Amino acid sequence: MPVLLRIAVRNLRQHSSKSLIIGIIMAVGVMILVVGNTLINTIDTGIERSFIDNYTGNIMITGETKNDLSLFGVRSPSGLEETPTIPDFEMIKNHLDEIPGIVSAANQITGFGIINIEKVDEDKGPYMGLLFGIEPEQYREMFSNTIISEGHFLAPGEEGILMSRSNVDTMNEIFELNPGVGVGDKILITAPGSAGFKIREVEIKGIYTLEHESEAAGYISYIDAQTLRVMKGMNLGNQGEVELSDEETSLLSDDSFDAMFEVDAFTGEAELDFEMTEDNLFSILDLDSAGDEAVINVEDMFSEDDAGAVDTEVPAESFTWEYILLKTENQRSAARIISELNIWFADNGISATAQDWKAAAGPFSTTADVIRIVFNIAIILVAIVAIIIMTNTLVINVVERTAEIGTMRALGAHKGFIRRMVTTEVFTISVIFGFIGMLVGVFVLVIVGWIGFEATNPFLEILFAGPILKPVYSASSVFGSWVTVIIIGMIANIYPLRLALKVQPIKAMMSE
Amino acid sequence: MRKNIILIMTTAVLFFASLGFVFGEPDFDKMLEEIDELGSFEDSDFSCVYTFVSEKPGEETEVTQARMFRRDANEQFVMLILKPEYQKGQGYLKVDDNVWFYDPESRKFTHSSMKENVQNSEARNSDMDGLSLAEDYEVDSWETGKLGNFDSYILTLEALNNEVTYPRLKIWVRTDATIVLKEEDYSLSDRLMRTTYFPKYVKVGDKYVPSQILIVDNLQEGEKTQLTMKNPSTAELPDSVFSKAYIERVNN
Repeated sequence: MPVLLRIAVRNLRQHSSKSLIIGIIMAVGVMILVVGNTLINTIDTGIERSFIDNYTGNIMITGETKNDLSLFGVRSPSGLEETPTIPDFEMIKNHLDEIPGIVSAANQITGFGIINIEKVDEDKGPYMGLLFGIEPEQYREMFSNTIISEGHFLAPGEEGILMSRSNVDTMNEIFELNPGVGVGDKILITAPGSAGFKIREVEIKGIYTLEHESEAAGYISYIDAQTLRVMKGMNLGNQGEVELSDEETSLLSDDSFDAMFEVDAFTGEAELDFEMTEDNLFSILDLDSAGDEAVINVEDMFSEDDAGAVDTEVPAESFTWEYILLKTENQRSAARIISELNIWFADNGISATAQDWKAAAGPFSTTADVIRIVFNIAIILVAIVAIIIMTNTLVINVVERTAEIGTMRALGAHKGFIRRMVTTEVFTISVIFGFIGMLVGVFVLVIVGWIGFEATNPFLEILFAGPILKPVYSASSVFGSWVTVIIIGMIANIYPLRLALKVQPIKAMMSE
Repeated sequence: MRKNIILIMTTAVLFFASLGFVFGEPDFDKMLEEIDELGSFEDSDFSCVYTFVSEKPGEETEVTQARMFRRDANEQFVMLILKPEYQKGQGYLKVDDNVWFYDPESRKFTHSSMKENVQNSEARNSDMDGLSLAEDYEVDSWETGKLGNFDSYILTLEALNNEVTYPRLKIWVRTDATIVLKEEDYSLSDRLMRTTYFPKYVKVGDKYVPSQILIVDNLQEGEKTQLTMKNPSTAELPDSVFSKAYIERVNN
């Protein structure tokens, strides 16, 4: 081997200009890879941080669903599939306390609501709001990215809503309010749920801005979990079913719609026995069903204590949650805990599932994937171009050395010797110039970090993992780039090596 | 002389052809007016109880019963939810083009629109109102066809204003009676959004009201709602019924 190395070094010196060209190509390749990989690392870290630190945590625990479930609900074809509540919530929480590596946990419910403001013209609005029902104390401890610019964060047990500055500004714009609503003002939220639509009047307790921008985070309004539970009709339980006659369901059972028109549509004349008088005017809700006598019994009129409203209050310490979000010491421990939790759920027959932050971010995490894919494609293209250029240069190098290689073969050098010699030459160049490229790449990144490019918009802020671009180095990506270029050099060497081994000694000597 | 005969014959052919044309195509504007007239109560109030049964794949069947009060002459309606128990007392009030929704738990009203769905069903607030096809649509094209056992005119209607829920409709009107058997609702991009079937009508006074309606969501496969109308009445209703105060008081 030392002999081969000596020959390789001697050959490289003899063909210094070509060696330099190949070396520079390799150095530039390593530099591009180091800078590119580090920037991808930075972006990856930025996106991860923006989601994990803002609202997803590292792990999301939910009830099981057939369709994909994120913190924004179930992605079902109808878009209306309800998010299941977490089964055996207490048991899961107790188990989580025993798992090492979990730093913090927060419970959550998600809902959507139509926001209206009383005494505003009907033709203005409404405004659609994304609502996260939270327990303020634990949520604040886990996600500290919100800066309260007005008012205060929700206090434990306090009813109210916390909105982002951008949300409040948009709302004021939609409702054409000047001065606009702010802390202390009340808004009306109409939310659909299992109990139909519910309206709640909620006071704005605080307005927040984000310390670090994150996709979708600015749209979130934090509301006390209790209010959202009531609006979503959670904890209602079974309150009696409506008995239906065959006539009321007959059309639903038949998919042959045209068959409905085989008999005459006219079913006769209706008996008009309903009479509404001032006496029965306010007891109309006493009618039990369409099948009952429509004439109202005045004696059963509603009294003050018999309101139509149903008491949907739930105890303050409710175990009805849709999500448990967990923060772990690091991403690696998150993967381990997710795996352990899913095994534990299966072993205990709990229909719950643990997923990573990407599942929690749902459609918004695709941004991260798209950026990663684009960068990876760019790097693959750079690698392909580098291989082609290096292969060409090495081929020219081999062709020019035909006589030399032929002479060596004539003097008794085996094919294996020639293979090792050429490979050692390329390896030597790759190692030396790859190292130089790696140093230059790190130097470029140091300068980028020193300049401190500013994120001029929220999207760049997410990518930069903060308001200023600070490259996030990783030894694996820096040295990985060096190793990658050595491998690329070896791949580029395959074809020239074949040419070198095909050189016939007699022809080679005659060509001189 | 020969020229005159040809001229007379040509004129006669054109005259009879035009007569045939006139008699062959029904007056669709009048037909729409008749449909509106038969389905609207301009001279009296109307009330009934609707049962909404909604099916969605993978979900439990939802049932809602509501008492409906209509005063079509003033474009007003009030709908009070009777069942299920946890929605009892919720109400909708429509006055002109405004719709308000009332929740007795919070005792608050919010503004809604005619295009909103009634609870979680496929029915929209506009389905609960009296008909105004002649005012809102014009006939763009027509053909004849058969629906089940009934010969029908199939009319394609284009909206005349932006207030309507759907910009384009296709309706199947029986040739022997001016009642709508089927309605297809299309979006601006001409996508079929939903189909409504009216297989049964009941005579209420001198009007015809669908007693069974099936609404099929064409965007979400398998989602459909049946509406069944019972206890119809044309008895006069107090003016105070069509007010927010009534919906609030009925819950007290």
